[in-house]
Amino acid sequence: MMESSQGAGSRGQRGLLLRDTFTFLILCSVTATMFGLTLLLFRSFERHREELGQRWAERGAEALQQGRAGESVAALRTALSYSPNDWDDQLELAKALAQAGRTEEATNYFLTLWDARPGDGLVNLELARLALKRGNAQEATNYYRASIYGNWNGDGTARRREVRLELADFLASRGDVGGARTEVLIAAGNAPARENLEVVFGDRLQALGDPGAALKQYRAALDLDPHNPVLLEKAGRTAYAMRDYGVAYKLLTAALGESRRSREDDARAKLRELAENARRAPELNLSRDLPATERAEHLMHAVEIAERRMARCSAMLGARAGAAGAGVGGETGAVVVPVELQPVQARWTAVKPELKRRTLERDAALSDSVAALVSDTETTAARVCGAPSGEDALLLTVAGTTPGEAP
Amino acid sequence: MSEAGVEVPVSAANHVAERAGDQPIAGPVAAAVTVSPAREERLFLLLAVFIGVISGLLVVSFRMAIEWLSVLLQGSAPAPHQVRLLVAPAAAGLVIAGLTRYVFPQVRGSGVNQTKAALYIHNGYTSTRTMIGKFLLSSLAIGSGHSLGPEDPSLQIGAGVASYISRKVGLSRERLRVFAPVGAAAGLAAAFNAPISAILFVIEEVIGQWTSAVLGSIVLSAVSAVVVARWFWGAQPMFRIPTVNLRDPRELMAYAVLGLVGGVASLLFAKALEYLRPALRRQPAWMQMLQPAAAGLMVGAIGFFGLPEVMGAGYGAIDQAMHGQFAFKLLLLLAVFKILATTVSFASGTPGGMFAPTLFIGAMLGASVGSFEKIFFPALTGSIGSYALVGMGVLFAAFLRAPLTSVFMVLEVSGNYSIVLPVILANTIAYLISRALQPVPVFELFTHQDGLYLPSMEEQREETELHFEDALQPVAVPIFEGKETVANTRRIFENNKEATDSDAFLVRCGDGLWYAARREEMQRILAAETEGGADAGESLERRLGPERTPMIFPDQPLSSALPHFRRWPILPVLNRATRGALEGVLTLQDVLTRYQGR
Repeated sequence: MMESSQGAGSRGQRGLLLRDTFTFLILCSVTATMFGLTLLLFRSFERHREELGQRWAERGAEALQQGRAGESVAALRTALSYSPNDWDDQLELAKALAQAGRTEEATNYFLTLWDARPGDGLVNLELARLALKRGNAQEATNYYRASIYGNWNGDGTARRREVRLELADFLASRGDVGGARTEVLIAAGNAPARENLEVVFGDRLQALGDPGAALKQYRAALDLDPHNPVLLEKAGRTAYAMRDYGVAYKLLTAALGESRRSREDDARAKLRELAENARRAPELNLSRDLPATERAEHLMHAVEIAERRMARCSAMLGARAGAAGAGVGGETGAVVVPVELQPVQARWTAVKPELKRRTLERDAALSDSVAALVSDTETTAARVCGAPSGEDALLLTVAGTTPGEAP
Repeated sequence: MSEAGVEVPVSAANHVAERAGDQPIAGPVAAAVTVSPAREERLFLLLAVFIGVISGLLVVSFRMAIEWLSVLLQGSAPAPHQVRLLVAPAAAGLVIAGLTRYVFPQVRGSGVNQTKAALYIHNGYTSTRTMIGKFLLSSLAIGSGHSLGPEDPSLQIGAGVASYISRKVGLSRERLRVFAPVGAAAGLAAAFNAPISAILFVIEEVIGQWTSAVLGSIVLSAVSAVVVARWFWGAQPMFRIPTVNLRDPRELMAYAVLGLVGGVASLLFAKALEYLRPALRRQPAWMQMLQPAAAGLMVGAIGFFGLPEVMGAGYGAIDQAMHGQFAFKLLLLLAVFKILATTVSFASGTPGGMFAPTLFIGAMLGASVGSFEKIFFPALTGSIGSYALVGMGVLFAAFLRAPLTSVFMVLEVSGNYSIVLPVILANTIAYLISRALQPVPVFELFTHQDGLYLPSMEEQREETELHFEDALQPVAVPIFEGKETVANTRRIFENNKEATDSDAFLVRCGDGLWYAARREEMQRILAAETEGGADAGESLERRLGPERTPMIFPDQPLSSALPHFRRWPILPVLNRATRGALEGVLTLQDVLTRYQGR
């Protein structure tokens, strides 16, 4: 009896175990079937969404290229609703927002992207530009720097250089010329030897008031393409601005020579005039560094030019005053010096007795004083009688800015 | 007919009665299985995993269906002035009304109350037809543009899966009932992609208490569902969360303002539903058939005339608000029109949830407070995304009255704990405002409108339970020492007037335990000694036998005392620190008096 009940209990337990196993198997198979079906549907669903996302992204990109930023924003938003994690679409949307003038929204969007990839060069660059738009200079600088040191896909070197130059422009626009110059020099130092790049750096440095560094870049470019007339002209003009007239003459002459076949036009005529000035400029060099004899000779020549300019200017002013029917401060028929030139004339009158070659050779102080007088005369005449030409222009260039000092 | 599923069809009710009894349950899989607690315990955890996985798969399919229908009905890029925005929700409304009336009569509403009704009224039973109807009609409603969300239907779908599986496996009524929240947690977790929030919501809003019996299963099912959902959708959270931070402690004032705004907005939202829902339900049947279509037309008109973001669940717009893509005025407009659109959609009886619209309104209000602060106090403002995120939690706390879930939801969705302080502050303010001005939570309101009285989780949470210490009385009964001999005890008993008059006695036993004896019992023991029927030198505690009164302490629930009074005339309440030391005593009368005098 007892054995029989034990056997029934054991059979019952076995039955339960089998039943639970059966239940488990059924549940497993139902789950697997449902999983398979869901997966099948999901793949189809995902493909469809991808297609939609792609279609709208293309429309958005096209609209953005055509400058229809508002339309592009709507299309890209739709694209992102189908492929929310598409990085390129997100970037495009942020750019479209910026292009549409929705600076705040664009900034917020880029900041979200920045959260995901704080080291992304492009995101940092766009944030820098947006910070500029919002007038936040410090933030802009920080993002520019983050962009320079950030990650770029493929063309990192070139993009970093471009960003650095953009940063240099931005710094220059804020008056931080030193900072801008540093950025250009770093960019130039990191750049490969390529003629077009050297020219770009040269131009930037020239614009930032560093002709020496600019000339170095032009020379580097000329090493790669020595017969390029444009390069030769840029280098020649820079050397001329630096008052390195010998080098300027050589470069400008070479530029004229290389552009021989091109037609004679105003630009070429001006270039030729500049080359001629460069050739003649040393003759008007009044620098203290010159030997005393040579300086005295140059001074005597400069004095002649200045005096002629003074006389012409006085005559012109006198004629103008006569035409207006008014005296120019003196009695009628007398040689009258116009009021504007009287201070310079007084200095000439004072120095005239000592204006001898030998005196100038011996007296360096007098030479300095005469050089300054020459410069002041040309400057005053230019102010009251108009821009000089020919020798006067050359003299003004050579001696004008630093009278008495070594030019 | 009730949205909360009051009117279970007779056949279904019979089905429940048949299947959910404590008797052997018949089913295709488990025919004539004897319900064994040990077997059920084993199956319970295993089934929780299957429920989680299957719910996860269904919720993934549900979301796919919504998005597919959305593209199909609203077009791939809904924009203002597209006629289909007017046509699609209105036409879908007609279909939904017809199907709700003739095929799926219990699918109206969100799904939370229906699940609660299943748990408290129908022993966890959710019909398969309701589950299928909820899936189909909710996806059609949301996909066509009705301003409703998929989370609450997902919760009910999960509960339906749990109910179906547990019935098929053949579990006892008790188990059937607890499976409803297990499935609900799975459905919600898969829909939200946030297991902790789902678990908390189910505990906070459906079960109302932490019970270790189901907690493990709820966690298992929620995690399984989320694993499945993430397998398909990826691990990323529902929204792309921007940088969230608290820039300046003074910014907390702005978050407090957000709490205030959220509290008031939730009140408006609740009041609008409180008024419109019963008003529409009072209309004749033919008019009720037209209500979803009319609601669809209204929502479509809002989209057609400029705010298509209001249509559907609105996750895309939440994402945009979080990334500062809307201007201040537009944000306010979106919040206002979303309240309007959701009120008409929900009140019309269109199946769909309240979670997504609540999050939408919260995000818009949050972002608008953030934008306002950015305009007027730019130095103090963090990202607008932070405000949108906190706003979502605020509305969740105030409107759905789930304060704990709201905090964890924000933390889980953002994955950033630095936002916790603003979230707690704003949510608390909003919750308190909402509670003060709208004492009945919105889900409870709906159940009352449906003629149901389901337990209020908020009330349960706040109910204060009486403890022994609340009814404790000083010891006024004679105490005998258990180690005294029976003879000595008898002498003391006879010489003590107080002892002879007392109805109960306490005996201090040697091991720090006590024995409470009735007068008759004590007299019987002592009389046996007099008659020489026992050893007079034997100690009293030995004579009493091994049984002792249970050890109870002052902090234990008073209600737990009641079963002991069948055996013991008086209960000694002990000190937890000093073994055997008495804090006081309790009689049945003391307990009843305390409860009556409450």
